[in-house]
Amino acid sequence: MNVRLPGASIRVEGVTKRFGRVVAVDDVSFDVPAGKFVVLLGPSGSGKTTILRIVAGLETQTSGKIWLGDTDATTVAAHRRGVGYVFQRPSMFPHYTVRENIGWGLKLRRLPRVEIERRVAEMIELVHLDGLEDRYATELSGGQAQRVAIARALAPDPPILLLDEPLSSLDAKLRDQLKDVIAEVQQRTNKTMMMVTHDQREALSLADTVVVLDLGRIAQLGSPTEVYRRPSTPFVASFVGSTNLVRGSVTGVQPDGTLAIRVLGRDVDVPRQDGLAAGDSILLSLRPDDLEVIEERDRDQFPYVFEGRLLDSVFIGDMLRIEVDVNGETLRIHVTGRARFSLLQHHPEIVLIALGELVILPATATGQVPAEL
Amino acid sequence: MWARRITVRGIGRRLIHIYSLIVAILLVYPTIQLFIVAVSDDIVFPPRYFSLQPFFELGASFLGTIPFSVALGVSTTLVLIALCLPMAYAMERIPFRGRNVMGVAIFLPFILPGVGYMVALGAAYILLFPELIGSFIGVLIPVVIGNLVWMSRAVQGSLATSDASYEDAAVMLGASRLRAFRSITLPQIAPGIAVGSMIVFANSTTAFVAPYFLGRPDSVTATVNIFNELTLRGLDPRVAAQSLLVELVVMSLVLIGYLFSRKRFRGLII
Repeated sequence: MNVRLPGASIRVEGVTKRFGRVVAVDDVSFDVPAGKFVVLLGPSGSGKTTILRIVAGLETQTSGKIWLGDTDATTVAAHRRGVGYVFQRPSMFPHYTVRENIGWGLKLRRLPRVEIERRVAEMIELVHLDGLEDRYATELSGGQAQRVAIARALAPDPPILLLDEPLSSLDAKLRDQLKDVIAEVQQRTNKTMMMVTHDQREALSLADTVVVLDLGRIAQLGSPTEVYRRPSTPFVASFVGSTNLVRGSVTGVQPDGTLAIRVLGRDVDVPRQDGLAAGDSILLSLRPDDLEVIEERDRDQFPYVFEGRLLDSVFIGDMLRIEVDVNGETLRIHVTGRARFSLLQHHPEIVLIALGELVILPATATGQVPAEL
Repeated sequence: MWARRITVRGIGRRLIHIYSLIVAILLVYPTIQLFIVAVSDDIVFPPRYFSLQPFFELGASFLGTIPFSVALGVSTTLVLIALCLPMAYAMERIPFRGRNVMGVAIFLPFILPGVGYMVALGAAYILLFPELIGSFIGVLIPVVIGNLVWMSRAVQGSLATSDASYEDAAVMLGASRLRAFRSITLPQIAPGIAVGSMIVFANSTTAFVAPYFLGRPDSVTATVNIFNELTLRGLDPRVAAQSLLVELVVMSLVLIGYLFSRKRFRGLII
């Protein structure tokens, strides 16, 4: 694969989009460095696709600016932005073959036939479509057609590739395959990629940076690990992965800065957290996979162990999903390893749960710093 | 139980076949009768003699209307394609105020009584553009208006089923909106345009009300000429032959269009 153009940076600057009275995107700003993979993650109606279409030029913002590389592209027409775009549905032109689809943008640029053929062959190899060159859309699976769309968007060598939920119309197996193809393409071409998805697994596995959107605003921006382990709001905590949101309170601040908090009916010490004082109400996020079911003999190895009443359990192969009542709060826990079979076999009434990590989400939702145990 | 069901289904199917056959006979019968009149002026059935002579004595006035009829058909079709493509595109793809009103408005000429509308249009011509009376354009305008709904609905229907993201994909590959429409959308909606053209061509080539009210002897369709001869002499072999010829020419042209479209847009046209 000969890389001609490296990725270019993207800057979204104070972009707002209104559809009548509805504010779809509300003063959103963020930067994507060249060659990076950013994922816009959010539920339906969060404004993620609108932002992507504004960056592409397919939608006009009400206010704000779009920079592509060093160019202010705010008023540049979509077809002159030089940006590749992959749509949610495989929009393979039905009256052209795979080869003709991939070469369409190159033909438009009046490249020599030999160059077009060479470039098409490169793209076919890149997205693993060998042997399917002369097929039409109706003769391809959804995953194959979407790979054609990716190859077609990349063929003119755009520095930026925008992907609008490219995996959502595919079944689980094809989705995994194509996700790998996208990751491989990004690594091999070093293009700047911006993808929209509502699937947090896709976002966390592909992105360098995740932009979590809620109601047209950025709820959190960070690396996949930051967004997952240090969610800044209850929305991010529950949307990116599953979590248990538990209410608590600050009972005191030690001279060394350590916070004493009361959660699930007992006191727990956590590291210093700015902006919190004794008496403050707090919301905590406890990830189901950060809660561990332990044996009685291991109780002393963990600083904070809670007793819980087993309410329900669902076996889903590599994981046992259980629900436990701890002091009136229902917690969901993911049990993996051999412990899941032991629980299934004995189904005890009371289980011991060790706290792994908890994150404080102050009610003010500003300046949150996670507290690790 | 199953045997009974199968029998009931079999009887139902047979009844549908018989019904279809009756409908087909009712549709085709007038043409068969016309053919019998054209080739034999006999009043008994089966006729005692046949002659193709009427087909060679169609009359100068009738033959003189053929170029006008074909020109009217071709012009109406081309004008409507040019009018309806942007109109249907705007109505289907571009949200704008008054879209619903426009959707209803194109049905109006179709709903209004033809004779009354032509009298009104004739009055307007006399008052505002008297030179249009009896001219080709004067006849073309009402024929185009009357057929607007057919072409517009056919094109709009095709646009509704074609995915707008194809065109956006072409734009993102560097094509202007016009180029994307021409290269990507147009081939997709071509079956709709073909179907609309066939209907409009058949309608306008044989148009009656507009040329009858607004035409002059040299600007009427073959259909009007046939009607005039029919009122003068009644149904004789020559009028029957003229009518058959009109049917034959129009149906042949439509059939050629259909076969071409079916070959070109395989799977999109039955």
